[in-house]
Amino acid sequence: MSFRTFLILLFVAVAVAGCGYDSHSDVEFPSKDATLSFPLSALRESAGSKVPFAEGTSIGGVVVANDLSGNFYRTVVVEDESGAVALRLALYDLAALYPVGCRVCVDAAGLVAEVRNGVVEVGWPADAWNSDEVRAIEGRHEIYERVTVVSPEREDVVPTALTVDEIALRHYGCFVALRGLTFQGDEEDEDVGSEYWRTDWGSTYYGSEADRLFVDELGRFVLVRTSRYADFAEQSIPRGRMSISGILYADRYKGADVPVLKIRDLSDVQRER
Amino acid sequence: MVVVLLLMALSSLRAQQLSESYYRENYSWIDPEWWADESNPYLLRETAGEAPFEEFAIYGLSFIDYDYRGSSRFSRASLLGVLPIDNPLERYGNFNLSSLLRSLPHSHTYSFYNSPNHTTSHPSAEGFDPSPSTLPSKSKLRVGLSSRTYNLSTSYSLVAHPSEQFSLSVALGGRAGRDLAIEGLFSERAHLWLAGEWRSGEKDGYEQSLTVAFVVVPELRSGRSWNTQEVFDLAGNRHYNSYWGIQNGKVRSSRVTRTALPTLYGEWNLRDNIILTDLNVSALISGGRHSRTSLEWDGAPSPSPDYYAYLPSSFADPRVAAEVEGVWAARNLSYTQIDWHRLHHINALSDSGSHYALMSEREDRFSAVGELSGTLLGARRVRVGVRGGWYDSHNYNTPADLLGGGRLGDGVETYDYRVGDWRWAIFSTFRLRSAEGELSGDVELGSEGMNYESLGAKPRLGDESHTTFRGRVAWSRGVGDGHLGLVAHYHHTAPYWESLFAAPEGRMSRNPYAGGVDWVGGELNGNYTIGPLQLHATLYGDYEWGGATTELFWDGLSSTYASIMAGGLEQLGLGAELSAQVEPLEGVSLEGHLSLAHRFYTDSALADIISYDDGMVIAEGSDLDLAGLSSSVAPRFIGALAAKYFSPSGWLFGVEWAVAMGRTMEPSLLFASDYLLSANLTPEERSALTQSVELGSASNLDVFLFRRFGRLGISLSVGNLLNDTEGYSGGYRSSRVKVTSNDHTQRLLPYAPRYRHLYPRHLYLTLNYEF
Repeated sequence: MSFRTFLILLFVAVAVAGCGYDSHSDVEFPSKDATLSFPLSALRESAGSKVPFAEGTSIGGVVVANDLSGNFYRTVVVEDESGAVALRLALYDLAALYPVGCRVCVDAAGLVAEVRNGVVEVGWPADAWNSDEVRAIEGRHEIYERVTVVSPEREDVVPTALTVDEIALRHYGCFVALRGLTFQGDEEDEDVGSEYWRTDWGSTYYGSEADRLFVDELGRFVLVRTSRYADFAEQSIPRGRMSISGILYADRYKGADVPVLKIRDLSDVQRER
Repeated sequence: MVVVLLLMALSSLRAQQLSESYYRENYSWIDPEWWADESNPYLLRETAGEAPFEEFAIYGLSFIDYDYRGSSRFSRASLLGVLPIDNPLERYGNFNLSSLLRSLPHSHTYSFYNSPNHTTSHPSAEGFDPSPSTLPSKSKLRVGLSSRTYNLSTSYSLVAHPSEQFSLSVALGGRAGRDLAIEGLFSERAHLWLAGEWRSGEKDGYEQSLTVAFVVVPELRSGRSWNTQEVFDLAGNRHYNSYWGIQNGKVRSSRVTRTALPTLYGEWNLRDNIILTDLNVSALISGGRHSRTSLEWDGAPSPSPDYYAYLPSSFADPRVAAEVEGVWAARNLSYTQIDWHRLHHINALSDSGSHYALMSEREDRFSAVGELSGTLLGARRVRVGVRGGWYDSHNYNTPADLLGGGRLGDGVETYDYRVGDWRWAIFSTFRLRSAEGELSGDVELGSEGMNYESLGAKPRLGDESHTTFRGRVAWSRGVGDGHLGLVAHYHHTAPYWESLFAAPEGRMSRNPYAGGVDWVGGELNGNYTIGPLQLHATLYGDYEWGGATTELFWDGLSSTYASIMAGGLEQLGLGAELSAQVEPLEGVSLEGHLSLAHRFYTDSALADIISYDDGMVIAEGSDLDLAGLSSSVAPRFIGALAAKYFSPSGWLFGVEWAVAMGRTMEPSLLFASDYLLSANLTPEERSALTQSVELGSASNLDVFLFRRFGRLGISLSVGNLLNDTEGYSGGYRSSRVKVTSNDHTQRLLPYAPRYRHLYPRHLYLTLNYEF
């Protein structure tokens, strides 16, 4: 082969070899084997012990609430057939990572559980000087490695329909629906002729959350709690009777235990005829 | 002074004075155009003569971010024939065409500051003559190996003269590969050049020629990120590049630029020996697409591995910070680079469209430029003409890859707008020579208009025009064994189109402070010969007023994206340049360069700050306290030494060392505004916002070796021989303020500046074969 021929062939080789740096094949969603250590209801027993979960401990369930509307700050609520848990995760836009309806598996090794307002929360152990027992897991590497989505399939999330009388310990943290609720506004809240009260869901002068008092058909109190940073916080409350779905918490009002609902967004509020 | 004395001492070793003609006669095989391309520009500078510091600075300072004399106004316009190939509407430059033309076997004509040729808005231009008739017939094949950006290149060029009336030149080739020092950098490029020339020969006292040239350089190349020093330290790599990640085992870059801008040029010349010396009609048409990908997101965590909130410095808990440092130390690519797989997975979970998308930011460009010029009867050195141009750019973004999603997410921003620029001018140049000296100049009067149209959801239309004027006069006179020259110029130009609008992608709000820009300047230059020593010295100054600019930034005070629209910018540039060349021994050429320069704002300016989303005014008429601040990142001090040796046996060896000192990042307009500075700041916060950020010094040593063996020539060049990467090639300040609240106290601190380190040692090996 002459030198000239060699150089010409090299010329062709560059033309052929210089392709493909920016062409890429599709990405498959990995399937994950989700072997869980125990149902979520078992977390309530160890809550408050401050004892971190052992190596290899896994919990899981379906995501029923996240931070999409801003009402669940740095929180993802996961539910299974037995109960629910609120994962404390220090990251923004958790709704994109863990959308409602996806099934997740959580590596709980080293985490602790506590009960706050009736709901089991899981996160890192808090420091000794902190009155809270759980702090949010920080660092995206920690969050991504611990909380993994099992498959891209989304499951239907349907609230458990309850009355106030039917609320049990296992329901706290779960996605429930309470029917026949009416907002307890006064004359100042009335917007005569309008289908809405003047009062909105989340505005408040004190603290970061607002409570709105509702009563059911039997006059029993239910609080609806909304963060002032929720994207619907300044939307007015509808008049009339309605069914409200949300994550169930517990609190006290006028010396008595009352159920508290935190709605995910305004689609959780349905007017009843 | 020390350099001058040293050179004079060396020159005493050899009394013989060597001239350029000596090299041409004895080393005629060193044909600079034969070799010159971006890999071995040293020989290219053999053709320089009138502005040695400028010639050195263009190539010798390529290791740092540098505008000659600290202003893009001094950068060279690139001319194909007599027409500029640059599109004033382009946002990212068309450097591949200039670099290709520089490598073609064509005569390079350099029009310097005191050139008699007309120029564009730049005082200096680099012209590429497409006429193949001036070149000897030859065919060449070139093969190159490189460690920088590409690995292998080949090109074939041919110049032929089939008849006395016709000549042609052809060049085609390609190059491809990956950068061997910086991960995530790769390029693929092909080129095609065709040119034909017809000459009538002299008939009835006149002769004419017609040249037509076509060139296209389709290219794909990836980009390199700017990073904070914290990220470089975490990565343990001064050349960390955050733009890439692994997808299915293969490196994928989020910042890929594609360019394909075919250009057609035609030129007709008529030389009439009775009525007109010559008449020239030229036209250039170019059209095509330039695009750049960018990873965009909405409603999901940032995909950037170096996002500030992911770094240890963002975590108040030292335990968490230490964990994050550990992740970087372990080189976990899922977190230290883009995790393409996770982006796909997140999109697969979305029922509201892709949260992440690779968007292609496109500029569909078209330009048409023409010129008619001629030399006046009997006044051989006076040339008049008219020039016109029309430029159009349709700028929009579109999904290049939805990364596994079914459609674009509602929150991912799209834009669509068109900008048009038309301009015409009448011009005249003259050049008068006498035994005592030379007087030359040019004047240009014209108009430039812009029309713009936002085609997206927020329609906006507009157009405006500005009168333009450019005038320059240069005088030089022989003084003893040298020359003394004086140049003065004044420009009144239309504002740069990007300074007209805030957020052209969105509301396209007109900058109320942008209008005509004025620029006046001059220089005193001289050269002198003392035996074998040639000295060139220049003192220059220029003043610009009426400048304007716009910038998009995240406003931490109002927690919204905002645009700052500034105007009334006034800058003064002053400097001195000294070059010395000597040939102390046979075959040895030495040169040295020194420059002292400073470009700074002379007064405060004004700015409005508006919200990007709704155009609401956040601050109106905010004063920008810029007076005294450096307005350019160009070094205040530059020094360089170079040596070449031509051996009788045919070796050429060259070495060049350069150092740049006194570099300051350009100030952030936001940090100079009373909108920000009137907040309740502690002395420490005020100092952090207003103090200049120094880039420090940088130095570079290059070597070059060349040898010819009959038809085969081999050249080897090694850049940054000492692999000095500690210094920075450039940097910038982000106009972003970190707002933190603690115990009802708000603190404002600037985000860390971003840098690039000097490029490491790299080499080019080129084989040229002539047949």
